[in-house]
This record gives sequence, structure tokens and C-alpha cells, in this order.
Amino acid sequence: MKKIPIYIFIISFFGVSFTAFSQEDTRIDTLIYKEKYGFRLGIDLSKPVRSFIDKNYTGIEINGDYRLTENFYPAAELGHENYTFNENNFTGSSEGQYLKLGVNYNVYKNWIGMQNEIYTGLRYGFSTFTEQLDEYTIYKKDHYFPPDVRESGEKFSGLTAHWIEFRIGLKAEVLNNLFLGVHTEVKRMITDKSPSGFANLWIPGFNERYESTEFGVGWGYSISYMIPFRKKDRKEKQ
Amino acid sequence: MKRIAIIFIGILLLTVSCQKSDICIESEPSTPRLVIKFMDENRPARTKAVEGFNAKAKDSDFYYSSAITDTIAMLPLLTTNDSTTYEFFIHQGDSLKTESVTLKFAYSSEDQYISRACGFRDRFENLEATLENNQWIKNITIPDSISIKDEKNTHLYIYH
Repeated sequence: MKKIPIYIFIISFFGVSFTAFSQEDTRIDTLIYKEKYGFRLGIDLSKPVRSFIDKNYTGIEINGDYRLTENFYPAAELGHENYTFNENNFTGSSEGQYLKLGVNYNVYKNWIGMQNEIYTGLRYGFSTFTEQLDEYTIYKKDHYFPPDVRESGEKFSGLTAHWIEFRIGLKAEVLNNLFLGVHTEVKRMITDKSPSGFANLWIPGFNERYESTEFGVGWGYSISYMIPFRKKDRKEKQ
Repeated sequence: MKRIAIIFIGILLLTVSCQKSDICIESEPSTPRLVIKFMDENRPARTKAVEGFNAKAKDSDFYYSSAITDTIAMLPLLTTNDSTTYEFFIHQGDSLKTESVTLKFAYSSEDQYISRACGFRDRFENLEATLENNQWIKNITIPDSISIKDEKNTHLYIYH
């Protein structure tokens, strides 16, 4: 199996062509290698980019993870998002924050000295948010009278949502201790508190909330930096 | 390894391009029209057909021509106001002379959220009807505590 073309393939997601490999391991003898264990802090890059190109969206997310054992990384994300929705018969917006807590499991066996990941992850997600109804048109089937368009501005606050999220992602160490990652999410709502007289249409951290399904999707790409604080022996099976 | 990468990209593309779009289907409830049944004043339990019925709202330049049969008329009410005034015309008797009456319908309305695709509709309560310049209506009745929330029930009976 050719590993180098695969690395270049992964890194080329981000339009960069790093071919530097980190060489941080300390060799004690030819069979035991030490790997870095540390705390990683980063930001999601897709949200600021989307904030710039999508005038209906602003958002930011910071993420962190920590290498507990060789392949288990407890992880968390914290974000704030604001999204304006334009439906056929009304417009409004949703704004709030979310927290996701969970763990990533690395399924990829690195080469000696590598710190890349292909991981699956689980998260428990939680959001508090406020919705606002801006303008709406009364729906009627006949057109005898002109359309009744109303301005509202009514706010629905104190809304909450809880969900479970499943992730698949890649993380590659492109420079010393600097990682680029991309991931995709599939989530299922557990409970969300609907406002009376309206509905939850878009939830920060969950994205579009449809009436017909409890499921949602998402994705992102991020950059993170690792602060290593110890080295641990890599268990090499012979 | 390559397979994992390909599956991953597949899922990524799917989640990125996934966009559900609901449509507001015809059978969803919308703002209901006022349902009127024309009854025989001499035999009050039976319907009596009206000849050449036409209705025109004061707020419109046009006659409302849909949803009218011999014995039932379904008329839209204004959601922007708490009353709608209509003029009803019929052809009466053998000479088919046109007779008219002005009816003012008063009500209270309330918004109701239907769905993401349909948005909001109105329902009406506390219907009252008053007659003016009446040439052909003998009596009108409104069922007790009727609320206009769909077009399944009759909201107003006109006896002629």
C-alpha cells in the first residue's frame, strides 16, 4: 500500500503541499518509540469562511481535544452562530450558542513518528438559542384579496436543543504540532423545545431542523495546535 | 485505507449537498373561507338553490366567481381587517330580475403557524353578520360558537 500518495491526497484538501514530516520521536532502542501526548486547541475554519461569503450567516467555533490513550481523544467544541432563514412564506433568524462533548477514536495506524488520524467520533450536543420572526405572509389558497404581508419582529427566547452526533474525520500534522482536519457529521435530535406559535427552523450546532425528520448533517474543517506535555512509549507489537 | 478515504469523501459530499425542501401541499389547511349554505325559508331544514348568484366584496373591483354552487358559497374574508362587506346578487323569480343585499361580516382573527413550507394562516372567531339594503334574504343564522377554522362545516345559513 502506498502511503505517501495518500498523505499528499489528504493534505491537498487544503490546497497546500506540505511534504515535511515531523521527527519528534526519541529512539531509545530500535523497538520502542516515544509519541507526543498533548492538548490540542483549534478553530473551525469553515465557519469564518462561510460568515464571509454567506450574508445570512455568521458563526465561530473553537475546538479542543486531548490524547488520553493511544487512540482515544476526548474532544469538545464550543460555538456561536447566527443564521437568517428565508422561507417561501416568511423570514426570520436564529441565534445562539452550542457545546459539544465527546470523544474521537483514531482508527488509523500511523507510521513511526506520525501523528495523523482517521477517526470516528461521538458527541453530545446542546444548544441554547433565540429565534425571531421578521416578516410573514398569511397563507391562503385564493387570490381574491391582495396578499396580507405582516411585519413581526417577535422574539422566541429560551429555546434549547439536545442531540447526539456521529463524526468521521481526518486530521493531519502538516507542520510541527500544527494540524489540519476535516470532518463530517450525522446527528439525531433527542429533544428540542419548540416555541409556542412557531417552530425551531435552524439550531446553532445542529443546522436545519426539519419537521419531517429527527436527523441532521454537518461538516467542517479546522486548524489546531498541539501543546505537548509528555511523551509516552508507543506500544509496538512485534 | 484507500477505501476509507473514498467512503469518507462520499459521506462528506452527501452531507454537504443534502438539502431537504418541503413543499406546501394542497391538502394542508390554509386560511379558511366563509362557508354559506342557502336554505328554503318555507322548509328550513332543506337547501334551496339560488339563481345566478354573484358576490362582490366592497374592497375588490371584481366579482368572486369560484367555489359557488347552487346551494353553497365559500367566500374569502379579509385578514387585514376585522370585517368584510359583500354585496350578494341573485336572479329572482320568473322575470329573472336582479336583487341584491349588502352583508357585513365581522369577526376576530388569529394567526396560526402551519409548517415551514406553508407558513402562517388565519382562523376566525365570533362571527357576526348584519344586513343592509336587503331585497331577497328572509333570515340568516349562525351556528352557536362556530369558529371558522376550516371549510368542512357551514358557518352561515341564509334563508330565502
